[in-house]
Amino acid sequence: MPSNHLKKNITMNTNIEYQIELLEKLIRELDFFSTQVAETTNKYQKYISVLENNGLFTNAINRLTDEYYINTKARLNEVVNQVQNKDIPDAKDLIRRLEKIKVSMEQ
Amino acid sequence: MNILKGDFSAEGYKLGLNDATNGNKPNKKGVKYHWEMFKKGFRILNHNQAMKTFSQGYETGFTDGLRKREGLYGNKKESELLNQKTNTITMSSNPENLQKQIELLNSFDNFLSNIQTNLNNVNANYSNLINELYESGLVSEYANKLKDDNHASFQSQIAKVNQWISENDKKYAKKVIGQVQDAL
Repeated sequence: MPSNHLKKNITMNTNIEYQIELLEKLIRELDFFSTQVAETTNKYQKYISVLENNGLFTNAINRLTDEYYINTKARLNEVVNQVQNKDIPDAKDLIRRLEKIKVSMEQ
Repeated sequence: MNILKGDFSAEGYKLGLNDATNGNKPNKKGVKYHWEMFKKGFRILNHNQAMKTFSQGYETGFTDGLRKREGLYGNKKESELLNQKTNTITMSSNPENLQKQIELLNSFDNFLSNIQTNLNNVNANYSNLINELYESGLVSEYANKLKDDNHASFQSQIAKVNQWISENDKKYAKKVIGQVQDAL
């Protein structure tokens, strides 16, 4: 029969494994988001191109391209930069810390 | 892949993602088939654990793949509109052409709304995962950083992008729709 201390360690260990799973899920979610943004900006550009090919007046095409597409793309890329340079590395760092805790509990 | 730990979730994930993005049907037979093919290349030490992680990875990948198909590639109508061939730049005052422009601009406006919906969904998923981490008993120092630093900043950026799209891109798209309608 395991002691209370051992029981507590087993519970904490299970929780840590679950927390690592959740963080891995978060990383996948954020990576997926980055892919989605790249696809979205490509599609935005395609819309402008199709509208131009269908004869939409030049002034509208120019504004959509130079003002809206460029700005929206820049804003979306700012979020992607945060995700790739901060959120994902932080989540990975946290996984490493949790794995260390897990190993020390198993010893 | 982490063979020593018997974790094959990453391999399952890739295959699930691939199946869903290629429009294959989700079924247990699909997972089993992939597993049977995959395990031939390895000497699996902990078979049950390995197959379990592979299946879980496959299901997660399949879900992401479905979202990718729905979210990124849009609906059939949108896809048809964007892939229609046009001969040349025709006269924009042609009524038929103006109708087509309105149809495209309305589709563009829906596309902008979909971007906002997708951003909100990612933000909600981020928030839910942090809540789950709290509930699982993650050390409060770590959980607070994720919530108050990482997610708070992400959420703020998402809100700004959504506001920008509403007040600029969508507003201008509607204005142009009005101008083209006036020309009809």
